[in-house]
Amino acid sequence: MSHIRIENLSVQFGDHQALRDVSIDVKRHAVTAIIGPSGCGKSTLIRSINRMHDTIPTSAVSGKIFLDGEDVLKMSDVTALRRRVGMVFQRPNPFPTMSIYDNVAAGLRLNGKQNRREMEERVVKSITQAALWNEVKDRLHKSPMSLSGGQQQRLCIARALAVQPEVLLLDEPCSALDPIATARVEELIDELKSRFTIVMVTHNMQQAARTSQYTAFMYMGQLIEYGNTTELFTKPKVQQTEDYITGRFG
Amino acid sequence: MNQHTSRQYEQELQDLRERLIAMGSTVEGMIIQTSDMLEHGNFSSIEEVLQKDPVANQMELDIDALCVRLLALRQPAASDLRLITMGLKLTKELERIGDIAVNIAKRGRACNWTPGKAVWSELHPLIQQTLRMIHGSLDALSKNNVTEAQQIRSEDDVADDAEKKIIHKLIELLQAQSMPVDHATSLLTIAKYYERLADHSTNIAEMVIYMMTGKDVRHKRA
Repeated sequence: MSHIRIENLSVQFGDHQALRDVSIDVKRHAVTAIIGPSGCGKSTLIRSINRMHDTIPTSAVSGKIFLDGEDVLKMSDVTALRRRVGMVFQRPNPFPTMSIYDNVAAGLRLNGKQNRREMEERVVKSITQAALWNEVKDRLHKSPMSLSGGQQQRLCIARALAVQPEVLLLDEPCSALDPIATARVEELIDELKSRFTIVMVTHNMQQAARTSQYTAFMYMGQLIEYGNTTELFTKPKVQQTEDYITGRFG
Repeated sequence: MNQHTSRQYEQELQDLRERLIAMGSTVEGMIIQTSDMLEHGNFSSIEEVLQKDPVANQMELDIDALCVRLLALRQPAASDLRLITMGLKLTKELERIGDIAVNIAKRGRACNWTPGKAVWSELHPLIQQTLRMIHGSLDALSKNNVTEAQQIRSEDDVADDAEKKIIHKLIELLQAQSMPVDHATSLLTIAKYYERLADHSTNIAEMVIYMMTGKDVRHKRA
């Protein structure tokens, strides 16, 4: 069943057409990977889902993005949208001046959740969901900068989970991590998919193959092929996809 | 299809294709020579067949090692993945064809008897059909020819029927007591070997279809 339905989405930054007429159904409670060469529009696509382009003056967005039937591009309260659609970026970006605890609580405070016990429960739950609890439970009030890159990234995931989103957008979440930290984040993604709809941009095709159930291949702002991950990686329907995933591109 | 970005990887895949074809050619030569010896009741060149067996075995080991290395180092996908995984399976089929050629030759020599006209008239079509299927499946492999592979796959029943005819003929001859039992059992075994060879050809044809189209047609009617 689709959770996010994107119809004929086009995005332009000044003269540059970043996305052309992209239509895609993102399935609920599954991982959808977006792959493609640099500059193909992968990040532009997922950033459109929580309206990250709103602040770019030269951007022009057309088409429709439905989140459970509601048109995202027509929503008046973008903060409310971003509560439903969390995002984690390429490089871990914990708030450096806040403690580990406060990093996770920040989103809750912003959303007016003031009850201390309730907040504490939510913080612990989010850190646990992000598979980080055992590693930070004794230093919750220390700086997040003392954590490793992989731990910082899981902290960012915990921060995103704290506001209980429906959708998690991951923009190359493991590109700055070592293989062990990458494996932990991938395991976490696998655990989270039963509760969240996850859309992940990745340059790592093996990661897309390992972690996702659906994969979209993009090229020059267009969606070339979208389907079941196993099918796409063993018998793609489009020659361009075959060329890209086998390394014959260029 | 475009060339790989990595020329070394492209070369390794080409090497794999060539090695598979070379192994196919080796075992096909073995079964052709064996069939020829069987037809003429002259096993003087059996050593040539026996000597090719360890060569085919070594080819299997080398191809398997290459496939494992490519899987470990290249993380292949799509058609490359299908070629490499099928490479690992094709070597098993080809190695068995070589083994069976040796078994037929040894059985024929031990029998020390040329089949009479009545038996030969039944055995000959099975041998010809099997040789045709082996050649066709290997030709389909070397030319990536799906149509030819489909044709070979559809002919498996022809070989099965030819084997049944021989069995009936041998039973007839045994009942009429016009053939010694040991000769009949040897011919029965040889017929079974040829029928197995046809099965291996069918398997190769199915692998060619999977490699080229991604469709797994095993255990489905042709």
